[in-house]
Amino acid sequence: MGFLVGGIVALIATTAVVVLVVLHSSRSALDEAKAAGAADSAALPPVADADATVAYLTGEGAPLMRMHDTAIGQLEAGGRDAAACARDEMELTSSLPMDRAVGLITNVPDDALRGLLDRERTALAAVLAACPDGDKVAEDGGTVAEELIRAAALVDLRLDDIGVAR
Amino acid sequence: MKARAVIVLTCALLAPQLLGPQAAAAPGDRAWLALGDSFSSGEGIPGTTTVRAPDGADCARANGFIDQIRPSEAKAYAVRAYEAVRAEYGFGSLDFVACTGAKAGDVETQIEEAEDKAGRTSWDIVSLSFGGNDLGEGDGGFGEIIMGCLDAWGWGRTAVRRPGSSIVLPPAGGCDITYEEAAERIDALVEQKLPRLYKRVAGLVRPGGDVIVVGYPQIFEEVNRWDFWRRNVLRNCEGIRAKDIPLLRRISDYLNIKIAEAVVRADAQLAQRGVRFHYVDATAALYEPENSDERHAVCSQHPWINGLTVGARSGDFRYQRTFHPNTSGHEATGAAVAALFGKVIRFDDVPVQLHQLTTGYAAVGPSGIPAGPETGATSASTNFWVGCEGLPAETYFGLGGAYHSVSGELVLAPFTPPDLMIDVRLLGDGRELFSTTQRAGQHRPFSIDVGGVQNLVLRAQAIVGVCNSAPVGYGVATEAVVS
Repeated sequence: MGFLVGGIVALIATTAVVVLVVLHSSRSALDEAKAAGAADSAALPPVADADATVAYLTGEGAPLMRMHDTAIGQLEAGGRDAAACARDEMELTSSLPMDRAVGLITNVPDDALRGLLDRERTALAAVLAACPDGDKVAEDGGTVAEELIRAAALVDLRLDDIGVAR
Repeated sequence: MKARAVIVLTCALLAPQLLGPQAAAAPGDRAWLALGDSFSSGEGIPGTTTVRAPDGADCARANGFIDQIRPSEAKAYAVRAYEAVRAEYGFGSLDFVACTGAKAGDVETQIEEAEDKAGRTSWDIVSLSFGGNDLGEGDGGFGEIIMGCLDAWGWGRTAVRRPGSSIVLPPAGGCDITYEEAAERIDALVEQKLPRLYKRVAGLVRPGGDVIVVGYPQIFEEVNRWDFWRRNVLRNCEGIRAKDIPLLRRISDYLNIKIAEAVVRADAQLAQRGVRFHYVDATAALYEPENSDERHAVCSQHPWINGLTVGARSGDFRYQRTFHPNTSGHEATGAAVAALFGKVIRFDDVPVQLHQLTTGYAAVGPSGIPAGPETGATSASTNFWVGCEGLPAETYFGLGGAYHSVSGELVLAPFTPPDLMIDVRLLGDGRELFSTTQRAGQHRPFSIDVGGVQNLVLRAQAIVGVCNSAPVGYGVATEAVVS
């Protein structure tokens, strides 16, 4: 009996480990980055004008959400997919030229999100510029890809706080 | 040698080009001229009027008026300072021609516009800021340098190659100018453009008047003073990354230091004409005073400068308002400019013109009729006779030991025979202080120490060539003043 109980316990433990490993593996790079960036995000000032920001990002500022989606796609791909890089660069250049992106970002009502989107914009541009060598070392000592991961995670966390549906 | 005629006429009638501006206006008639670039025009203030300058430039002007009749609360610093001192110091007019995007070389266009509008050619106060727009490769000036730090040239590979430039940036981006490059442009500005500009502006000022040069504020707050979340999470200030801020601040510091030095030099050179230059250090005196937490750059607690967002918030979507002083900034600058009055601006430093101290003369020649420096009585020039019969002509001035220096520039009147060479000497109480030979077309500046001198003699004699008949003396000491 004791052997049986011990075996069941061992089986449950083993299963739990396997499940945990599977769960961990399925966690996206974005989720991991968001977990890592939670403390930073908590340091941001409270959301001041959530309704206006939501309205902006679902209206005139909607292209910024596409930029954010592109950034997530790049970080999930690890910046190593040359074809995806070329496609994203072409797509952004035609649908959201850089000067328009800057203009749209300047009009984001939430101060913190505005700054974060700008950080994501420059990080995404740097990653696309570094393609297909996505591991080029940035001047600040990190990699351009790592900077994009951090920036995209912080944007995503702020969008969560504001209540922007994706 | 042939004697000259002795018809006494004033220099004002015969040689107006030799005259300086008229003496300072009486209270009530004083005039203020507001020159400068967008930091003087009030570009950053919502509600500016947008006018087309004569040269086609798009000028946003916060001149206190919506049009010729309706007043406006959009007032740049010059308007605020003018309104603050108008009654006490007797100003009757402000001519506001500062314009967005103006470079040092555009001052001529602004002067022409002011002269056309105001119907005058001289003022008692000239305020200005110039230089920032001379620093860019193109027309953007310092703003172009800032925008070059925004990483906004394009996505992907286009982001690292600036349009129209061979500069290739690292993928991580950043400003596309180095400190050394910026300093080189600033040095060129200060050495080549500002001295010419300041001299030109001084020529617009009546003796006893003043030029106020306003420096530029630091645009961005120091990174270590940013909010924690901005410094550590956003890592940028209105699109400019934290790592680029020190470079921009250093460039701005250097620009202001060099402008301040140029102003000091202009003051030293032009004070003898009764025009004083004053520098208002916008950063150290207003936006970032030492030992104070009251700081006002972008990303400080209480910014007086617009960030990138101003286009949306000002209601008129005028992107040029970005990174320019707002209403609070101009209020503070206007107050600082107004505070100069009564302290360093008093309108009482009108220099004494040399001819005002004339006590006599010794004319020579067959006519024996003297004519002397009273011919320049209405100008800043002192006219003197030249002895043409083998003896010098002398003009006497009574200094009474009350002055330290005599300065001016020796020239010969336009009608002087070209082959004439004249020996000119200045003697103080019998001791020779200065001597030179002068030909037509030569300009010879002089500045002589006359400390303790009671009586000054100006002695002039033709030593080569033949004199003609002339209505006034050949000799002219332009802008000759004692101080």
